[in-house]
Amino acid sequence: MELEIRDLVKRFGGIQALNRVSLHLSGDELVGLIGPNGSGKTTLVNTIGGIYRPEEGKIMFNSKDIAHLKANEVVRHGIGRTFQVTRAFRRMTVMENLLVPALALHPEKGRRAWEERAREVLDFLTMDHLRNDYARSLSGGQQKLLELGQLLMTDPDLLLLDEPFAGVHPKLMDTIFEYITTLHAQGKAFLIISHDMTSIFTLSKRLVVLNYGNIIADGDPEVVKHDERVIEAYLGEED
Amino acid sequence: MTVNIPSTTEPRPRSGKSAKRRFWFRTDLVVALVALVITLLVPLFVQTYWLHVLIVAYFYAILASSWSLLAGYGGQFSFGHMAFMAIGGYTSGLLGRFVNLPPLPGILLGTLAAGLAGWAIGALCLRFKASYLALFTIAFSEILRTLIRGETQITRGDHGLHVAPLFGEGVISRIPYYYTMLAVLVACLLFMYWLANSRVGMFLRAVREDEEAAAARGVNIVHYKVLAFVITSMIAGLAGGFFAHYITILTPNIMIIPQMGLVIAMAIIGGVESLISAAFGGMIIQIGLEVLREFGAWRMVIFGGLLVITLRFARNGLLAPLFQRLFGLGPRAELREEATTDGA
Repeated sequence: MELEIRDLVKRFGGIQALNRVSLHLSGDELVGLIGPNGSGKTTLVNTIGGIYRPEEGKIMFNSKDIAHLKANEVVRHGIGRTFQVTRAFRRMTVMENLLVPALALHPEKGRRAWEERAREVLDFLTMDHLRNDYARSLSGGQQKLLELGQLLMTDPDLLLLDEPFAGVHPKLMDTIFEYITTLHAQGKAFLIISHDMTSIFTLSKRLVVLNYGNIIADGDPEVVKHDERVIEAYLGEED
Repeated sequence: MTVNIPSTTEPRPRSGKSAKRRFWFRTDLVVALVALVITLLVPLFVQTYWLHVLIVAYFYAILASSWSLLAGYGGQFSFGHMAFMAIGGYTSGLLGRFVNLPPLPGILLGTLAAGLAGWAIGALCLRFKASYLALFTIAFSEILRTLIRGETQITRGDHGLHVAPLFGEGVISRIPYYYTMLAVLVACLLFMYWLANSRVGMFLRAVREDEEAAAARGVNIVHYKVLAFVITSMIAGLAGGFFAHYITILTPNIMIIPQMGLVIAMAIIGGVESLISAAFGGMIIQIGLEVLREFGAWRMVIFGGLLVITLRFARNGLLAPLFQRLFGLGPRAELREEATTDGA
């Protein structure tokens, strides 16, 4: 897996949400993306994921330019993403939620085969007993797990997780943490946005910090933690 | 690279829910068979006038159920359904008038014309938010109606276009028309039921729930929205073709906005997220309008009130919960509650 972002620019009217952002991820890296509210983290993930079209810059994924692809085309290249506020298909069953991405990307395998795969994913997430329930009836944490399950169905190389721990019960937070660790150990690359400092500092070997659409720090979490610009822009808020 | 997800080795327990679903599936079949036998025997017991009412009711059932596929499953709110119906009817009628094309090929071409118009409109405005489709289809319907009214040399405008009867001038009995419209209704319902339960139906519901999330999961949202629009336009065109060759005269009034409102009311009062409920909504309201004919315009007030009550207190219709309770048909109870709270 190789993601190369070069001079990415995204504007909303007069607001420059991303200001020539460049970032490189390779192999099975697990990178944390942090920054104050409005710094451009979700915009970056939305632009990589094809929800937004960038005004300038390139997004190369495995040597292919995906900057101007639609969201449904980006996911075909092996990039899966979750949303800050969970966006499971609420009035569809858990099983249907898993079948949608699978059948959208690989209809040729057939529904029965995908249902078997979905049962395996649900077993992994210890949610098999909920397969006939509607997503709406799940807790916030379970919906986060369901989104993770949707990604596992399509087996992406890179997972973009937007606030996977936000609004989740502490027990489920530990569970999600474990799943991410397990999947990472199995070779999956991650770019994780989180405001949960404990989790993100524990999980990541590399932290990228965004502020006003600019990358102000990129490196070892322990080094980033003591970076003056980061303290001023983000951690300094606590003082 | 594949994720090494642990797999269960024990046989999976069969849940009560799936067992229950199979039981209800059998009940579905029994109910459908009984309903079919009753509808097949109806011509033996009812007068010609009521046979006519039932033929028109089946026509509206096709329109209401196909609109529910578009709106209830696909989340696309269109006011153009009656316009596509009219395209089907007028295409067949005009081909009969100018090139002496027999009714059946005319209906086929009318269906294709409705689909082509549906594709053009879908490709134009289904990339935008749902409200654009509603506004665009209102404008499209009114433009088409004005065009048909104005081009009297071709369409005969308000004087009405005479259309050849489906079974020829010699056949006066309504019975062949009754069975034909019933067959078209059953065929359309079976096709839509199959579609709604296929992966296409699943994608449509995903798009209805959240377009961006559906796209992020790999669903080509514009493609499936246009596909649903074309299919439902063709079904409306097909119904329009058969209806035109039954009533044998077409006027632009058939596509006025209140007529479209009636179809929407039928689908909503029946249950917009259930094809069979929407179809029954169409039938019951059409029959109800005839039963209450002596009330004149007040019957519209009665059905308007019923629509308001349905929207306020039973967002997934009056019939869908009833069918669910009695026969296990349509969306589950928790979905109805969600429809009420979500406003979906």
